[in-house]
Amino acid sequence: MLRLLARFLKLLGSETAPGQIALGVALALVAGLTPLASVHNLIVLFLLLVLRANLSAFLVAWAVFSGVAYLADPAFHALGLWLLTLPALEGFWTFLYNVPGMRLTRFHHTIVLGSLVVSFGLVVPVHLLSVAAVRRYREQVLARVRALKVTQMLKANRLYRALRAAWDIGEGT
Amino acid sequence: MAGLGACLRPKGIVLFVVALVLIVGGWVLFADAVARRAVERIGTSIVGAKVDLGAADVGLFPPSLVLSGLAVTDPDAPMTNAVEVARSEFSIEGRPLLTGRFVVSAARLDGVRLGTARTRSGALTKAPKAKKESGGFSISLPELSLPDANAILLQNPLTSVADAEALARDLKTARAAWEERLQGLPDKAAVDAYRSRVRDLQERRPKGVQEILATAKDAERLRKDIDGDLKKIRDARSDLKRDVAAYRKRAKEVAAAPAAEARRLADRYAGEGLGGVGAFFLKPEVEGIVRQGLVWYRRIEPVVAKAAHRTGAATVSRPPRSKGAVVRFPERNPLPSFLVRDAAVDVAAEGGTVSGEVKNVTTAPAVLGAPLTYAFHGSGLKRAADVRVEGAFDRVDPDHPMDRIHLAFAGARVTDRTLAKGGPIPVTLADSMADLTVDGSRAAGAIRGALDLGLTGAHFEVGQVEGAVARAVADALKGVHAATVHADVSGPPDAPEVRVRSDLDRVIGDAVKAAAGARLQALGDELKEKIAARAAGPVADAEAAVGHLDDKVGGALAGQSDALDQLLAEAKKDLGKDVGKGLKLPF
Repeated sequence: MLRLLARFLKLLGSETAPGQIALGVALALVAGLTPLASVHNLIVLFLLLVLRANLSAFLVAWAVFSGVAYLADPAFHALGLWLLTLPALEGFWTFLYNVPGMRLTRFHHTIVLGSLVVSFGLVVPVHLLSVAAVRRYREQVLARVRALKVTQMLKANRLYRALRAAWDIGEGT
Repeated sequence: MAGLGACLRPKGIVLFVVALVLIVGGWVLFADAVARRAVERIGTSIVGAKVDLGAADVGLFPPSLVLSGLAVTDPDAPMTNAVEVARSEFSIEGRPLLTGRFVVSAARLDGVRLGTARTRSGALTKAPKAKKESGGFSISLPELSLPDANAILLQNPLTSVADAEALARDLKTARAAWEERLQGLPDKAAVDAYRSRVRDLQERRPKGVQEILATAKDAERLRKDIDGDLKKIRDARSDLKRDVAAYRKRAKEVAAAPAAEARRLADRYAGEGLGGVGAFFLKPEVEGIVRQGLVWYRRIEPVVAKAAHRTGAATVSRPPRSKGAVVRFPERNPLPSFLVRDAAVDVAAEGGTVSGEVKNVTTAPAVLGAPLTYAFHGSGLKRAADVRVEGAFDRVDPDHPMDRIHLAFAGARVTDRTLAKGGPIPVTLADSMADLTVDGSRAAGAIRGALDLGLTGAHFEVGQVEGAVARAVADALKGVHAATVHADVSGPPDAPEVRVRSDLDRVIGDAVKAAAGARLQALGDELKEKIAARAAGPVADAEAAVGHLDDKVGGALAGQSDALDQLLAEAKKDLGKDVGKGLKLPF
C-alpha cells in the first residue's frame, strides 16, 4: 500500500496528463462506493482498461472510496430503499425486475442502487475536481516541495540515489 | 482519429478480454468446488447435522448439476446417515437463472439408501438447539388386580337404580293421569240418573201413535247414552290393562336389573384391568412406527414450510450475511426462487428397489400454486412383498397447511421383535408376517391418523412368568397366531395422542378372566348385593305403584262397568215388553 502511495505521489509529479489521473479517480469512485461483486463493475473495468485512465490513481482512489463506502453504507441503504419504494417509480422498477437478466445486476438491492446513484451523481464533479487538484498540486505544492533545502539535500544523498535506483529497477520488473 | 487514439488504449481491450477469460475460466474451474461447498453449507444449516458431498459437477450448456456421494447425517444419531444418495442429476432451466431462479425441470436420484453407517460423526461442533422431545408416548404396566366393589360403584352411576326411580316417577304421573280420566267417566250418580230415566219410561202409558213414538224415541236415546258410557268405560279398562301390563314388565326388568348390572360391571372391570394386556404388548411397536414417521415429518416439514407470501405489492426482505435489503416486485410469471419440478428417486432396499417420484419441491409453494407430492412403490423386497407410499405437503395456503400420507406395507416379515422386555410378562414376537397401512393427515395444526397392523402366522415367545394371571396370559399368547391392531393418532405433531386397541385384548382377557374366575365371581356377587340394596327402595315403590294402578283404578272402572251392565240388563227386562198395540220399546 505504501508502495502504491509512493507511486501515486510520483505520478502526481510526473508528466502524466491530469485528465488520465482524474479518470482513474472517477472510475474508482464508482467501483469503490458500490459493492465490488456487481455486474456494473465489469463495465468500470472495461472503461478502466480501454480508456487511458491511470491505473495507479484508480487503485489508490479505489482503496480510499471503499473505506468511505464502508461508512456510508447506511446512507446508501436509506437512499436505495427510498428510491425502490417510491410509488412513482414502482412501475419502472417492476418493469426492470421482469426483464430477464436485470436481476443479476442486483439493482433491487438497496445498497447497490443507493451507492450507484450517488457515485453516478458524483462521477463528473469528482473528475473535474481531480483535474483541478492535480494541476494545483503540480503548480503550487510540488514546486515548493522541490525548492525545499531538505529535498535538495536528500536528492544529493548517495543513499537516496541508491534507493531511487533500486526503486526504479523494482518498478521495471 | 488522433484525439480518439489519445483517449483509447487498444491494448486495454485485450487486457479486458483476458480479464474476462480469467474470470470465466476461474468460475469454470472453481464452480464445482463452490457448488459442493454450497450444497454442504446449505444442507448442514437445514438439517442441523453435517451434510457431506463427494463431488459436484456443474454443467453450462445445457445448465445441469450432478452431485455424487451425498450423505446427510441423522441429527439424532450422528454416526448414521439419515439418507445417502450415490448420484443425483439435475437438469436446470436456463431462462429462470437470468431472473435469479433455480428451477430444476427434471432430477434423478439414484442409489438412495436410508440409515447407513458413518465412519465419522456428523454432529456439528456447536450442537444445534435441542428440540423439545415429544412427551406423548407413555407406557405403563397393566393393572393385574381387580378393583374394589365400592370403588366401582363410586365411579359408575348405577343405571338399574336410575331406571327404577324413573319407573316410580312414570307411575306417579300415570296414576295422576288415570285419576283425572276417571273423573271424566260416568260414576254412580250417572248410573242413578239412568235408573231414574228407566223408571220414568216404565211409568209412562202412551196413548195414541204420537205418544208411543215419543216414548220409543226416548227409550232409544237412553239406550244409546248407556251404550256410549259403557263404551267409554270399556275403552278405559282396555287402556289401563295395556298400561298396567307395560308397567309390570318394566317393574320386572327393573327388579332384575341390579343383578345384570353387577355382572356387566364385573366383566368390564375384569376386561379393562386384565384384558388390556393385548394392546399393551403391541402399543410400543405401534408408537414406534408413529414416532419414526413423526421424526421424519418434523425433519422435512420445516423445509417445505418456508412458503413465502407473494402478493401483488413490492416486499422488502433482508438478505442474510449482507447489509441492505432486497426489494422484490410483482412478477409477470412468478416462479419460486428454488423449484424441482419432477424428481425420479430410486431408494435401495434389501432385495430390491423402491422407486418413485417427488414433484414440486419448492420453498415457495404459494408462488407455484401446487403442493409437493410424492409417490413410491416397491415390490419383491426382502422385508416386504409390497411397499407403497404416497402423499403431499400442501402449503399452497401457508396459513392452512394440509399434509397427507398413505403408507401400505404388505407381506412384511417381522422376526425377533421384543415386545416386552422384562416386567411381569417378557414377550418376543419370534416370527410373523405383517400388513401395515397408515393414513395420516395434518390440518389446522393438528395431525390425525389411523394405523392398522395385521399379524399372520405369528409365533409369540414368552419368558419366565410368575403367578396364575401371568401364566394365563403367557399360555394365551402362545396360542395366538393372528392378531390385528388399530391405532388412532390425534393431536399436535410434537405431542400426539396414540390410542391402540387390538383383538389380542379379547383373547388375553378371556384367558385372564378364566384364571381369575373365583375372584371375578366374588366381585360380581358383592356388586349384585350392593346394587340390589340401592335399587330396593325405588323397585319396591315402582311395584307398589303398579299394584295401586291395577287395584284402585282398575277396581273403580270394573265397578262402574258392572253397574252399567246391570242397569242395561234390567232395562231390557223391564222396558223390552209390549207397550200396547203389539209395539215394543227398542231395548
